[in-house]
Amino acid sequence: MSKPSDLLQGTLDLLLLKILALEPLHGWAISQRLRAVSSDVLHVSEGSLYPALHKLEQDGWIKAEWRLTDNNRNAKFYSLTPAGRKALTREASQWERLSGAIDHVLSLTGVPS
Amino acid sequence: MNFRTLRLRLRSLFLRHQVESELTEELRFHLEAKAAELRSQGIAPADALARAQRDFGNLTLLKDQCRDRRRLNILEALVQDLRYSARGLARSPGVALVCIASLALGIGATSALFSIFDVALLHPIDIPHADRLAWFEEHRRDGQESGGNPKRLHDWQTLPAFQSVAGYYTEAAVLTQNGAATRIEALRYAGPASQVFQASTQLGRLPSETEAQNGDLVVVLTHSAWRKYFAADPNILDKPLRLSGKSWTVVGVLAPAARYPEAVDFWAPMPREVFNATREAGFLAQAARLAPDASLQQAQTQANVLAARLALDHPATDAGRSLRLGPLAEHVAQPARVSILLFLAASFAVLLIACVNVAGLLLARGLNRRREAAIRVALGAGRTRLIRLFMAESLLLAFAGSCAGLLLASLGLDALKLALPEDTPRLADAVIGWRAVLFGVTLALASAILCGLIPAWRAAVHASATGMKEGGRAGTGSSYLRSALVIAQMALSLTLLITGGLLVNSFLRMRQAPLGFQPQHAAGFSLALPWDTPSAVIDTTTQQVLERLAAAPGTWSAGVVDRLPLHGGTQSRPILVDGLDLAPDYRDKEISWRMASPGFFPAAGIPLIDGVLFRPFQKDGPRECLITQQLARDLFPDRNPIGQRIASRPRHNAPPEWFQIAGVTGNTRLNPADSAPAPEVYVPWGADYWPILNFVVRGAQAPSDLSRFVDRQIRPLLPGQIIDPIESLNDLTAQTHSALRTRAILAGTLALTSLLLCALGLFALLAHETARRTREYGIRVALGAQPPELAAAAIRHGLALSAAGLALGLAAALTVARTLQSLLFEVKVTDAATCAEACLILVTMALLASAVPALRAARTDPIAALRHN
Repeated sequence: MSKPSDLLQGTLDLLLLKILALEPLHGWAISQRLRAVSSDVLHVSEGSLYPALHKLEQDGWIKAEWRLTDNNRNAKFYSLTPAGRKALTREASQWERLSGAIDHVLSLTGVPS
Repeated sequence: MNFRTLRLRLRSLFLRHQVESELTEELRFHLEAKAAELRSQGIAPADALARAQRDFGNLTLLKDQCRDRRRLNILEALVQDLRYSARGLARSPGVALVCIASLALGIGATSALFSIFDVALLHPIDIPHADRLAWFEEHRRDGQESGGNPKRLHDWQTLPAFQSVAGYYTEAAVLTQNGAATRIEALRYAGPASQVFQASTQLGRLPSETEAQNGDLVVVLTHSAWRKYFAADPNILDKPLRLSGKSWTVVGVLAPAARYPEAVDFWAPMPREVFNATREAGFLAQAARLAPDASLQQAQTQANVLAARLALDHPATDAGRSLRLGPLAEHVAQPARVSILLFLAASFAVLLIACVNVAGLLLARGLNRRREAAIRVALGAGRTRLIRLFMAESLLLAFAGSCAGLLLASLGLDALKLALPEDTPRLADAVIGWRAVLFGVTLALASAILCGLIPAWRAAVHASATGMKEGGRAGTGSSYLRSALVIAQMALSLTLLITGGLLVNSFLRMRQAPLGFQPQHAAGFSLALPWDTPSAVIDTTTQQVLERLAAAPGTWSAGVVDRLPLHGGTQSRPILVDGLDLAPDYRDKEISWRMASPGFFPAAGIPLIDGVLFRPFQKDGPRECLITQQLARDLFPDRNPIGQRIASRPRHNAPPEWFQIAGVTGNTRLNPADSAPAPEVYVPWGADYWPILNFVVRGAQAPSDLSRFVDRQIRPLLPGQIIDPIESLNDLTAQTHSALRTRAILAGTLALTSLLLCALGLFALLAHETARRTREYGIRVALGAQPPELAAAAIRHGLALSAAGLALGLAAALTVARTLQSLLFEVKVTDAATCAEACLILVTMALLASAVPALRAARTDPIAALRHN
């Protein structure tokens, strides 16, 4: 089990899918992007990124190919597969339901009658 | 799992190196990118890479996690562990070889015996619904078991708990085809035998009710005989068949599924005469198929009621008789049960000892590998991972052992079958098939767990608990465990030694037991005439053959007897003595009543103790007989037996036919397993009807010369008859001992194997102990201890362990051996000498096994020892 600190289980997968849905990226770029988009709130240690990526690849949600970067370095680029796209929609709506529910609970001011 | 993921998985499995290098490359790219970023923030290039790595975390662990995500780790780790273990074992080939060889012996012996056990005891009858078959055991008034009788068979058939009841016996018949004679085996039956044994025909039909009642000469061939003797001739039906001098008609061929009774070539209804037998005669085997809703208990209850009524209806013959019913399968398996269970248990014990040995060796290796285990823990190996690593070693050993063992089993199976009683059911069907292989592999798994789990657990626990604190020196804790294992081994081994010793001693006693005849220079052969041969023909045949044998070059004497010594009795009946009230134990006792020509006694070398030999039988001449020394002693303890008159007790009220005792002969044994000589009466050949002729020739000629002579001179006298090959009585005697000999050899081998394994276990423990205490010994020597004291410590340890093993083993052996009595000859299961010998052997072994470690301890060089470690 990877233990992405401070992250709900499964949320890292969702974030990765979302990031990769925008464009194919290699591991380093993904970690940069994660840091940037979550404004350092969601701290993902650099290491724990890779096991998660390998798992997503193994599950068939993302695929990998070796390509040259802008600096002419060979790097492993990940992109979403059709199955991954479906998974993203599913996971995202689930997340919305969950966070909505939690918001609702937290916004309670009294016991509803 | 879709195609893509499957492809990925296969790729990770088979292109491991590529996947691995891609992973390394991917992570390196990340690190370099990070370092570049740090450099751009103004950090020195040398520090940048280090910091990038620090931020990244444990690279090895991370890679491992990535592999884990690829869900290959378990398989891969297993392969890796197995490889690692194989390399480790290859480094100590001695240990590996010993482990594999001992496991192979244990697994091999156990699998081979299992394949026999599987058919002979678990499935002794290979026909459908064999569990619904009941076997009949009739008992006479005196409690003796007796065969069935056609008249009573008819009575039993009325019981409603039975669907069908059949009576049967087997007899030899001579099949004549194109002038060549072959002996084949016939099943003669009365009642619906085909229903009882679920036999149907593949060709033609079964003999009809009318044919059976008319005594028509019709047969139905078994499938195997049809193929063996008639080349599966499809036009066999209605062809005439020459069987024992008569013409029979084949009406059908049984389907291959009709496999019981075994070893029978054809089925034929019983001849009519058999049904005229009185209710006293007992010669039938009887079996029944239970009615669909009936139980064996119900049948038994009904049989008891019927037996009571029959006793009232036929008081002279049926009073006091009883019928006991039991499962047929149990009856069929009975003769071989004890032998098979004994050897199965013994081979299990050998396997267990082997496992304990392997466990001991692995435990020792585990101690030596504690530093390695500690390093692995420090590097992040979990406890399960560590146990798995250590288990891989025992798995590897066990599987190598089971492969070698199954090979051994298939090679040794035939030899093993010789050790079992001839009437073991379905012995030919026992093969190392998939069931045996499955069994062997299961054994291997079980032994791997047995040998590996404790060492693995200990290694893992110790590694995580103590780490590298002890500097890699082996601790003491596990030596108690190993001592316990060695004690268990010795107890098992002693049990096997005692069992083996009992069987070996039985065999030796049997071989030394006086035979009562002189097998040297004597040869014999058998000639079985059909059962309806007229007496006159038997007499002239006997006469002619004896005359020619006597005239053969080199012959000293020749005779004929109803059955050769050691080959069992023939007829037996209660006797009467003229003018003497028999002791109560002789009143109903069945005395073996045999027939022989006067020439038989010198030919077989049976001494005449007193009186003279009887004269050849003459119809109107005086009736004479011989009795054995044993009978003379029992009947006439206080008077001269010569001249006394003896008779077999007549049935009904006929006057007894008295025979005057002419002489007393030495005792012989009827069966090899008889411990006391049987009391016997010999009447002259011809006094009774008996068509099976056993000729015995004593002379200077070799059996092969005699054989040629018989071919030239005697065979032409007997066209269409089978003369069994001539064999020296020495060979025949050895043959009768062969089953017991093979059994003794097998038990002895298992016992010695266990002893050897046990010695190895003890040696390994003590050697390891001594090596572990080298430093201590060094200090003791430096402080003035004498070498003998050090040696004594090792020997004391060995003896203490064997003493504990002996105590446990004796208790176990006495419990186990009680079941063996039926296999023993003149040896009691509590035979003190055998037990003492076994203990002595074990203690000697313990001393020898401790000797080398003791010497090593005594030779401890303090300087070297203190430099050690």
